[in-house]
Amino acid sequence: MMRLPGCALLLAASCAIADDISPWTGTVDAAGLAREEMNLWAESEEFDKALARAGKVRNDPALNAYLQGIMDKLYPEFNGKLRVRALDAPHLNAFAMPNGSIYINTGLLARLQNEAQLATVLAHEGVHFVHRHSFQQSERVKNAATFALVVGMLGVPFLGDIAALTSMTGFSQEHETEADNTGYQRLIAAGYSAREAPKTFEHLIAEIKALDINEPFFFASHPKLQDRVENFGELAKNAVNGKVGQEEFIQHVRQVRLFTLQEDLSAYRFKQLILVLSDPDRRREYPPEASYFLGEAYRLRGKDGDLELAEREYTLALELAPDFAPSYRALGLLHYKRGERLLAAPLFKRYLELMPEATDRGYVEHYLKESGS
Amino acid sequence: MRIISSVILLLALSLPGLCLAAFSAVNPKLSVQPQDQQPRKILLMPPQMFVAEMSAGGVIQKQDDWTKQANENLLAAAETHARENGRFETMRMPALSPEEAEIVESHIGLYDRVASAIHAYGQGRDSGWELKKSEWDYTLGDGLAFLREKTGADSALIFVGADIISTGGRKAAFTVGLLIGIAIPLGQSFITVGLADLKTGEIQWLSYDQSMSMDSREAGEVEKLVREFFKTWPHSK
Amino acid sequence: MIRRLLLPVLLTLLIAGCAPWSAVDPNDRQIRVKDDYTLEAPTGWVRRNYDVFDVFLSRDGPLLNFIAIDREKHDRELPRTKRKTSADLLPQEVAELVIAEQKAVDSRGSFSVLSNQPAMLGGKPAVRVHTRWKNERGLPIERLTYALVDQKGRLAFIYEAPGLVYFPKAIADFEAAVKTVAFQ
Repeated sequence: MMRLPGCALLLAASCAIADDISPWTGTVDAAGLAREEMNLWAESEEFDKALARAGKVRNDPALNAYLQGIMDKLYPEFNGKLRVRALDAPHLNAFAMPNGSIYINTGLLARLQNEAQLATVLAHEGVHFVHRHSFQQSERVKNAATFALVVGMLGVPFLGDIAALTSMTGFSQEHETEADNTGYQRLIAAGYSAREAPKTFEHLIAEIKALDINEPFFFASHPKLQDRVENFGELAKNAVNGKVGQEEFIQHVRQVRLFTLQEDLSAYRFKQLILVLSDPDRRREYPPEASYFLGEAYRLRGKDGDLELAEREYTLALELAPDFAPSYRALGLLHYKRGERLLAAPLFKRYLELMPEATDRGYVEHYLKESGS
Repeated sequence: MRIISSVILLLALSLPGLCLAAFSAVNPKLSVQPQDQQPRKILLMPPQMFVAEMSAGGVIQKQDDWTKQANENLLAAAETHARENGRFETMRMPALSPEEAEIVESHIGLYDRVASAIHAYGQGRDSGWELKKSEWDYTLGDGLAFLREKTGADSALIFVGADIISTGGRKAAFTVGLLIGIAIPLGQSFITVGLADLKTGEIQWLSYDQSMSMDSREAGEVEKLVREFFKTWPHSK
Repeated sequence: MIRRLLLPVLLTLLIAGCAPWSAVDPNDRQIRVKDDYTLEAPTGWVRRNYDVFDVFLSRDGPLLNFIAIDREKHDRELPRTKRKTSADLLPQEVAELVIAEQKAVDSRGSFSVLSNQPAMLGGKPAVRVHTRWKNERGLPIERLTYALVDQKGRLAFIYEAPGLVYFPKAIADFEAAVKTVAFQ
């Protein structure tokens, strides 16, 4: 679901929910689909293939099995028909295709705090498939700007790919509300903590506001973000405690978190890194190597005092994760740029010992040579 | 004077359209191939053609059943032509392992680009590109050679294209860009066919057609198109 | 009214008729860029005469291979990271920006850095970064970038082609051209 201010009215205006389309009940009979819906399914299959060919689907069987396990717990009668996979993409987004393919971006996955919040997202997406929202909408969003935006986001051709477009740009307000409310019921039935549902949105509002994110993200389509927080808060008011699942979540997404830290760093998204990692509560959710990434983010931001902050974080990373090679390089470079070659040299050497196959080996050897080592 | 200015405008605007009329490009080596080296068995690659509908409201949507029909029509037309021609036989793609399918897919991706390059520059008609007339070295490489071993075929035939069927009479003011880098006005079809040597990957021949009236769902029309394509093949009867 | 209509039409026809490409003359391969540098273009390549890049060449068509060379001033923001550069950037920091600009293109699936090492370009310290990604067909695309910063700004020499067949096919031409770069 995606916030597209220019398209919101169009989406709302174009929605016409058909009342006679029954939700799937567990038996999904693809052969019995009407022609229009068959086309949507065929498009979805093509989209699935294009994502896989482009290498966008995260190659992490353990993670995908974990996600699938949660989905199967939420929708047990569907026997795996809703297939969940993580996508290597930085945006805070998740979406459901008409054929039951559910995707959650690593960018969103890394930002969630526990399994109950993840289940909130997956339960919501599952409703879009079960209630056949793609097919229910009688009009499709076709404007070129939306197409261009969606193509730019994932880089797969969307010519005529209505299924993907509808899924990724979001459904009508009624459908989104239905997905929230019905998804909530699934969450409770599966034994998850209802109190985590509003938190799924709350802790991300601050990030979205602070970074002034103007990109597709899960939470900002219809209805308004704050409304959804309040809606879930109301639903969860009298809910009994349920499973939160923080520890197992953290364990399963550890690699995803490191991956997204690296992705954010490589793409110079240092604001996100600083916002997330400088918060001690959120920092605790990340592996110890995170200190290196925070250090790098300070270095890239480059405000007054940031180099000192960077140095502090690199040093902390060396203590907490002594086998994590990039920290040595980063601290070595900091000393090198200051002209402190004697301090830099042993750090560079240690970096190359820990990472003999480093693709940037040539630079580091050059620095060592310049340092007289 | 108004008529003259209108004619000039029309001419200027239609220049790209004139350039996209049906044409072919042939590897110079193919023309002089002795008979015993000409393709004997041609593997029909799964056609990369889609059919979409454009409604009166300007909505375009791929139609899976039409696409399947059009692709089947292309394969059947190629098979019919082979029977009538008698100089080569055809076979359809056998089942592939996931790894083999991945290799084929990436080579089709390369073919998209090669076909576009041949169309735009490979004929050597444009200024600066005259060299290509004599230095034809467009190739897919030897990555598909395993298909030769698997099937016994010596060449592969690939159809790529799009057919945007306009219903409701809407006239589109915009074009759709195909993966092969061609832009076609909506309500038209654009189909290309290419032949590649499976051992070396060398592109031997390409032909294109653009039409406002063809309906690729109709077997007869596609058969006629494929017959026209093969008229430009050097080894046609 | 007629004159107003005819002139733009005739200009359109005239521009359409002007050659957009010129084959590299084997007897005159030198390209001189704005009191900045010269290089020897590879034979068998064709240069686009009007381009946003300072130099744009292709051998088989831009979708199959191209060489793009561009100089920009430091105070001009890079398009995706919005960073500016400076003459005192370390080569590794230049490489970091080269990679960041490519990484920020979401369409590049399976993006990887194949190699990233210091290099020389026209006698100046530079970086040589080799990257690869896949398109929606699973076709690998590879790019080799030589980049540097100096007092005039930042300079990048890019060679890009599909990883199947075409990248290895003409990389020698690109590397040879890079070796001929001479700053004014």
